[in-house]
Amino acid sequence: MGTTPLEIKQGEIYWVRAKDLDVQGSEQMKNRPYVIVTRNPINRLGQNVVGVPLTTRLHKACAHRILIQLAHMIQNPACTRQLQTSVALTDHIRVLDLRRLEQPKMGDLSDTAKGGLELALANIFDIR
Amino acid sequence: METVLEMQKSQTDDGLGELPTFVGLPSKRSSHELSADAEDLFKRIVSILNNFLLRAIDQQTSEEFVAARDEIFVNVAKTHRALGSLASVMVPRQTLNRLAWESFAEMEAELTEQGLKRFGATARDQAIFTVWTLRKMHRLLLRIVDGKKLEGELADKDREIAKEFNFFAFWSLFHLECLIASMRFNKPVRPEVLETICGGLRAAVNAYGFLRQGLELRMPAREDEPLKPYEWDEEDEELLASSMADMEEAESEDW
Repeated sequence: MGTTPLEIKQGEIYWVRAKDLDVQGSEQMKNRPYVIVTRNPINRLGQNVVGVPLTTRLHKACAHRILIQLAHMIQNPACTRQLQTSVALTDHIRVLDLRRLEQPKMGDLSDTAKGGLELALANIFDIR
Repeated sequence: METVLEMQKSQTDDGLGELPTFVGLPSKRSSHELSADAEDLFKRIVSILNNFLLRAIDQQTSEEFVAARDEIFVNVAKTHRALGSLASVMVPRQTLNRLAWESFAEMEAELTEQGLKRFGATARDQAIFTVWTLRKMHRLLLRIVDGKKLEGELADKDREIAKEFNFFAFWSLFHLECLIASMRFNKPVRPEVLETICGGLRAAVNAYGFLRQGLELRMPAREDEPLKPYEWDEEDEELLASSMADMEEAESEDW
């Protein structure tokens, strides 16, 4: 498990390590990258953040599950895990324990992709 | 797509604030209302647009559709810009806004009513999401047009954003219009072509992303006011633990 991160920012992509075994329903249960979607001041409070999981199963892209091309991700050169073109599973948004976020971050979303993710989240919550 | 993108980018050097706002797809009702002010002109433009769209959806394979699209897209975008510019001169802004909202509502209604039967659930949902996105973009664009005028480096940045926005907005609009034309003219779209159209609809998300950046240039979000820390008690810990509890430790690194 990674160490507790110093500062987590909105739009950053982290590998999230899962722990307890309890398989049920259609929840996302594998270790995988998450995009942090909570605002920075909330992230700084320091216990939890909210993230959207990414998958490389591109056929899952649909209206609100947006496709994020690799060109819209900025790889962190310090991270050995490679970013890939992904689908943001916005309907699986979840609260994450900061201690499960692996450092260093994998990278960041571009500003355009951040806007796209905001749009998809607004759609699933019907925020007009 | 890259070639078309470059061609389209060279079409305008306007910033986001100078772009004509979305006037809505020329529907039965809105085109009638618009044409009350300039009947022949608007009807003619609508007819030009429809001819382009019908040519595109008439294609039998995805390759043929892509070839036709590459050939006509720049002209479709130009025609749309002409329609928008003309409408902004000839129709009061309030009326234009109302027509845009009516156009969104009409498209949503048509897609809800006929979309499943004609295009299947995936394409219908993607199309409805695209209309929803257009609606949000329209709202943002109005805020941008009313926002402060940019100068210097910000204006340069805005022009760059506008070029990207312009391309992705028209690209998604074109594919949406193909579906709308298919319904209005009762022309089926081949499944293979439909898949390509769905891919094109996704450009709306990029368009929104660029528009959001344009808004940020004018109205930067208040930067990170620190929040007063709140007490984190056992209930919070329990909720956090339950949120993570169903995540298994997987050996696989595939995602």
